[in-house]
Amino acid sequence: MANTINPTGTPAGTSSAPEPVLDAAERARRQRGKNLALFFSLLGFVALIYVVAIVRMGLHAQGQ
Amino acid sequence: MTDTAFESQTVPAQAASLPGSVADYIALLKPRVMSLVVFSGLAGLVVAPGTLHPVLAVVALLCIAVGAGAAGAINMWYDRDIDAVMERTRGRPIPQGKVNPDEALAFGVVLSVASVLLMGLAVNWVAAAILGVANAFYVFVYTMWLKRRTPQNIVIGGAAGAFPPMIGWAAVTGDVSIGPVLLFCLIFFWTPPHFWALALFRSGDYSRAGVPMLPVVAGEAATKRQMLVYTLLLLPIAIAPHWFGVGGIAYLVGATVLSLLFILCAVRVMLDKTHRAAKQMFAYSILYLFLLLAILIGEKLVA
Repeated sequence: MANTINPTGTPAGTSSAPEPVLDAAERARRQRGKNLALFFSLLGFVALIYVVAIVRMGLHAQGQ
Repeated sequence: MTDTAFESQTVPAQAASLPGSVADYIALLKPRVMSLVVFSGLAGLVVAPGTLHPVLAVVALLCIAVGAGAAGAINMWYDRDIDAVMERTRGRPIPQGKVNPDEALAFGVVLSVASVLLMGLAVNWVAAAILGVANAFYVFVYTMWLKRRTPQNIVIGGAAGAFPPMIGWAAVTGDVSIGPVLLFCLIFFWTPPHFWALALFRSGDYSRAGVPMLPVVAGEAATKRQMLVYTLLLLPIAIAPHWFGVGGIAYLVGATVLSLLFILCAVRVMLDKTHRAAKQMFAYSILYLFLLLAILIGEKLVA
């Protein structure tokens, strides 16, 4: 299974250490996923603060 | 089968060496528990007198969800040793080696603080204070103090899960009156039979982990008696919101029927020699609370 993911294209049975390649690729994929999730969470948080500020200013202007 | 043998079958060889994925961090927030917490918070928000801007209502629910999830993450950090022993929890991200315990703690603390601050700044500080107390209660009182020390752990600790309707109510009104206190009592008295039903058919798990749940310490017969007592107490508490104007006639009828069925479940558990009735009661207890809150919400929306 590891050889199907190995980017070096080493034929089956000839690679002495295919697992680290799989690990590195998977590790990078998961880290990228976490980075993106953190980025979008922070972006959403900032957007939320803006929206809340606008809504509260609107309510304040209405005297609520 | 030994614990080691089980883990070697369930933990993929490379999982322990790889960092956790986004899904593992979401699992730390206990999404299934979070859904019922959010729903009870929504009930408090909807039935409270007055109105809240829809955006602020969504923010309030988001804060309740994230706050509850954060407390769950800290709970998983603290209980990682017993989670690894218990069959029900050994698949969690920390015992599986997918998330570093320190990262889980930091994740929980940051989200907990952020949810309280956002609730205070966006909605009001009464709701934020109750959210903070609920989180602190769950982590310090239930998880760190009571859970491993007393069979009454979930009786007192159940208060942590009873706060969300109060938070939702306070988000709208900015104060706490009899209405949210009744909803608090409803969940508070619902928690022991709900948890003990689970503990009955998972008592081996708790025993192995050294958690003094009632079935482990007092035995099954005593636990079943206590469950029946709590379901009997729950009947007047469940219908009380009607007498205080929080629920209407549909709620009165629904609460009466559902509570009687809950009592029936407890009687069946007492008579049952196997754990089949306890499993059914556990499932019914979730449906019971969901339906009660749904009727409250439905009545208010229709009115």
